[in-house]
Parts: sequence; structure tokens; C-alpha cells
Amino acid sequence: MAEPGDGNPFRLDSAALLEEVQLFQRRLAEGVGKLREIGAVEVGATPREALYSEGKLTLYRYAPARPRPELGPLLIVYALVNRPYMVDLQPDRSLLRGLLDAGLEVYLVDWGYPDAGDRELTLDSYVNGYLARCVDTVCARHGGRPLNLLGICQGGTLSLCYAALHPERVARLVTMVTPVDFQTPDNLLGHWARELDVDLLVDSLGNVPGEWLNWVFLALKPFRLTGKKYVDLLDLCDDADQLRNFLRMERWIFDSPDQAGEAFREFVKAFYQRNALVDGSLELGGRRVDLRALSMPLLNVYATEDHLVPPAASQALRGLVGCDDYTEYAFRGGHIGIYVSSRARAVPGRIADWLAARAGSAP
Amino acid sequence: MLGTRCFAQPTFRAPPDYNGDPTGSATAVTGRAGRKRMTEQQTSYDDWARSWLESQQQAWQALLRQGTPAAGLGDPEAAFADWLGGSASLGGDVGARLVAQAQQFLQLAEALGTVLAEPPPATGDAQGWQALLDTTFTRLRTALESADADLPGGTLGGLLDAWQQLTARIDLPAGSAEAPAGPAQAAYLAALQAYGTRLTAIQAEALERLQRELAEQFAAGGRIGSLRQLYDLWVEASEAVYAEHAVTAEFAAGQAGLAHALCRLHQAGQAQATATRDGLLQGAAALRRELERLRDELARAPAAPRSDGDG
Repeated sequence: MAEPGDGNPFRLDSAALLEEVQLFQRRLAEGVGKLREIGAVEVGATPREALYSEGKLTLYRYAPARPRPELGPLLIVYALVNRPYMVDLQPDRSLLRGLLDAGLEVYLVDWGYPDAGDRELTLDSYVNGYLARCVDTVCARHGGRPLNLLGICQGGTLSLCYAALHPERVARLVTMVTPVDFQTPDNLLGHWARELDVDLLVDSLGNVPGEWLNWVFLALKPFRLTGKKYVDLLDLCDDADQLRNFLRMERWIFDSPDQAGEAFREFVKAFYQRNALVDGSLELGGRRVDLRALSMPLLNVYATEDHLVPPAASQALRGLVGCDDYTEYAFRGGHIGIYVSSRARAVPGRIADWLAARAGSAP
Repeated sequence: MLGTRCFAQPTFRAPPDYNGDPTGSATAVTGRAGRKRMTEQQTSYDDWARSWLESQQQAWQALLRQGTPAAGLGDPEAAFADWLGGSASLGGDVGARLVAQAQQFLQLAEALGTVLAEPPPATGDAQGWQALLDTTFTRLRTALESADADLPGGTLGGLLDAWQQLTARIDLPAGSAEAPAGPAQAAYLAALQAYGTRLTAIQAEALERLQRELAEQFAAGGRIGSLRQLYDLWVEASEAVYAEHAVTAEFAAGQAGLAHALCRLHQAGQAQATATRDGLLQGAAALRRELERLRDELARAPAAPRSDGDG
């Protein structure tokens, strides 16, 4: 039997290893049992009202307890590829609740789950159709004045397109973990997407299954995302609340809607393969999307450890926009940590402060 | 969804060839740690293996006490999935993934156990330990590169599970690896095989990386104080190797190629279904024409004499 000592690279022996294994197995048995007991978990903690719906889309309104009307309404545009409840995962992990606490009246676009009937939807449908009508709905409730737009991840890219095409409707623009330059060297998704025959994908499958997205996302860091994460979970098994937190996150990760085929085709071709926001070649609804038209104040929030949208992909915005009032906020964390980590609690305050500093200024 | 590897190994159930003899003297015990050693010098290893086996039994019994169906009741994977709550249960899904990954962790423990259970190197110094470690890693790599790809490093099974969940969503023509239904299926299976081979190669390279990094740590006086520490190092090494491959053109092409092959297979299945549908429609159209021809013929035919005999 090996014994710890000089020359032995292991500071443990068979007995210590066995003890660790037995502890691990005991925790495994307990953990599996607790997971079974917990069952379903709820997400989307904050009360809301459905204000407008169209097709699969629903526009929600969230009312602050102590409104600060001078800040103006804030419309959150989330990505198509994931569900928007990430911004309101649970009461103590909620970007949305933080914004409400700051006095903002918040609206959220929920794109829903596209089905076969949505296959022909295009980027134009999403930007100049659905999103434009949501903006109109919110603006109409606020005297027709332009609103504040907060675009997140892919929703940020769509928001940039909308704001560039309709700058008069957007008073202030906030982008969060938003890809702009899709071909930075460290963008693994971009690297892979350039090899993809998206015509074949969409022509054969129609809508792109959410499971395909899951596979691609997991493939970015497979050992951590499909392996270590679950081993680490055993460290949380004594704490039912932590276990529920994990389950909420797990639910979100695998809750990937199918993607409307034509819009997906356009998105991959225009952004990942042509880098059209950077080269200015994007056209939607017959109009060119020129980021120099973004003259409103702009806050660009990115995450320093983001493996999906590398910082450089977001920071590229600085050199492309036409506004004088451009601010960057580097969040120390990852693409998901920006919503749910302990440091994430500072994010809504930073956004609200930035808006407040510009409240009352002419759009 | 339940990971397909949950029950591929005996970690959480009584080994089927375990005969109750904890010394393993009469029967080879299932699992690498339990492989029988017959020499006197390796008695300590048998002791360790017995303890190991007992801990496996205890873990399984712990699951049984919570209501897990007993081993041998039909399909254990299906039974376990039912017990966890099935695919309709989030906790069940996560529990299945947890069990699958815990299995990988325990296999690493098993491998480490073989190192710790070996008699101390004759030289008893760092070089001797390094030689022992090298031997163990060589054994691991050899096993990984063979068909037995369930050794430590097999965590990429989760990625393959994700792929399987995708293929389950898509209509694909019937067929098998042994008898592919057509060229599209053969091409798909080849792409899948190539993808799996690439992942296996990455895992093998990750073991080399881990071995190298351990050697560097040991040379600098670093020590491994727990299995968990070794596991974390292994994951870091694996992710680093994977990242190096993932940015290459070959990897991107291979990954896209797999998706393309799946699409073409789906298209082939649709073409097959379309051909079948068209054939049915053509048959129906021919029947309709024949029916119309008969109806016309009947209409043109002179009235037949009535058969009730009134003429």
C-alpha cells in the first residue's frame, strides 16, 4: 500500500481515497433523492400583465412599486435562441426586479416558441414587424414619447437594427452581452458558423430545432457544461435552495425554442458569415442598417469572461456608432453570471443610474 | 433525458458476476479495479478492490433504500428513469445527468486507486512514483483508444447525449450501422463515427496533458491531496485540449459536416416518404380514372333487361 511520504506525489493513500469515494457516493445517493423530491421549479418570479400579443409573441408589462416616470419606460428585448425568464429567474436573482426597484417601468418581449407556421418569418418580420409593434404599443402608453431600449445578447443585435432603422423611437439604447462583430478571433461560435451550410439546414429541417442549439452551446465547453457541472452539484446537495437554483438554471439552459427557419438563415448568413453589422451590408425591409444612425446615448454592457459573446465582439460597437454619448460597462463575469452571480446585483443599478443621468435630455 | 451511459458500467449496481465472495478469489470481479490479481505481492491491491467493491455495494444499497427498483427488474435504465420521474421531471433529468457524470468521477477514483494500491516503487523516490504514474496513464490511454471508451475522459458522453436528443427530434429513415438504408445514411454514420473518433482523440490527448501537468507539478514539489483535486485538474486539461482543437478548421468542418450529413439523411428520408406518398397518390389517381371509365362505360351501356321476370 502506498503511503504518503517523500517522493510520493499523492498526499493521500488508499484509505483516504476510499473515504473520499464513500463520502462522494453518500452525497450522490442523497443528491439524487433530493432532486427527485424537489420536482418542478418555478421561474419568472415577478408579477406582470400581458399587454399585447401577436402570433407566438407576448409583450409583458412590469410595474414598479415606486415609479420614477422621469426615467421613461424600458423595453427589454431578449434573444430568440433562449427564453427571456433568465432576466427574472427567481426573486433574489432578477435583473428585472432590480430595474423595478430602481423605479423603472419595464416591458419585456417574449418571442414565444415558433412552430411550423412561423418558418417563413424573416429578420424583417422580427425587427420591423413584431419589435416595431411592441415599441409602438409601449410608446402609445407613454404619450408617444420615445422609449429606452435594452437589448440582450441576440436581442441586442436585433435592438441595434431596430434603433438604427427607427432612431426617432429610441431615446436611449442599452446593449447587454451583445454581439456586434461576429468574426473576432476568439468567437468560437462564429468560427463554427462560417462552416455551416445554413441553406441545407433550413431547406431540409425548416425550423431549426432547439436541440441543435443545445448541442452547439454545450460543445463550446463540453467538459465543464456536460461533466464537471454535475459533479460540482453534489457540493450543493445539502442546501435545498441552492439545488433549486441549480434546477432553475438547468431548466433555462435546455429550454431552447426552435428557430424560425428563414430568420435563422438570414441571421447566420448576415451576421456570422458576412459580419454585416461591421461591413454595413445588412438590409432589412429594403433599408440598409447603418449603425452610424445610432445617435442616441448608448450604454454597452459586456462580460469580461463571456465565452458566447467575447468582449471584443461587443466592444466593436464603439467604432461603429454615430453617437457622442457612448459608455461601456465591463461586468466581471460570464454570459450567464451577468444575471445570476452575486456581482450581478449591481447591474440593474448601473443601468438605472446611467438612464437617470440622462433623464430629461432630449432624445 | 436520461444519459445513455447511466447503466453502461457496474458502478451503481451489483456486478452481475459478483458471487458474494468479497475476496474475488473464485470469480473475476467486474470492473478494472476488481480485476483479479493472483500474486502474493498484490494482496494489498485485492484488499483495496474489496473495499472498493463494498463501497459500490453500499452506494447501490443507498439508492435502493430510496425506492430505486431492484437490479434485475426488466430494463434497469428504464426503471431508473421511471424512479427519477422520467423525462417529464426536471429533477429526474438532472439526476440522470448527475449519475452519469458521477460514474466518470468514480472511474477516475478507480484508476487512482490502482496507483495508490500498487506496492511503493522500488526506488521510493519521485522518479519511481512518476514511472508508476506513467504506467497507469499508458494503461488508461490504451483502454480509451480501444472500444472500451468509458474510462476517465468519457465525459463527452454528455455531448453525444445532446446530439442524440437532436436526432430524436428529426424524422430519419430506418436503417442501422450494419445495414444502412442508403448512401445518405452511410455518409451520416461515417460523419458520426468521425466525430466520435475526434472526441476520443481529444480525450486521449487530454490524458497526456494531465499526465504532463502532473509531472510538472510533482517536479515543482506540488502534491495531489484529493481525488477531487485530480478530477478538477483533469477537467481543466481536457477543456484546454478541446479548446485547441475547437478553433481549428478541421474541427469546424467536421462539426458542420455532421450537421450536414444529418440534414441530408433527413432529406433522403423525406424523399423516400415523398416517393411513397406519390406512389400512393398515383395509385389512387389510377383507381379514380378506372372508376370513372367504368362509370362512363356503364352509362353508355344499353339498359339490361330486368331480372325480375316481368318481361
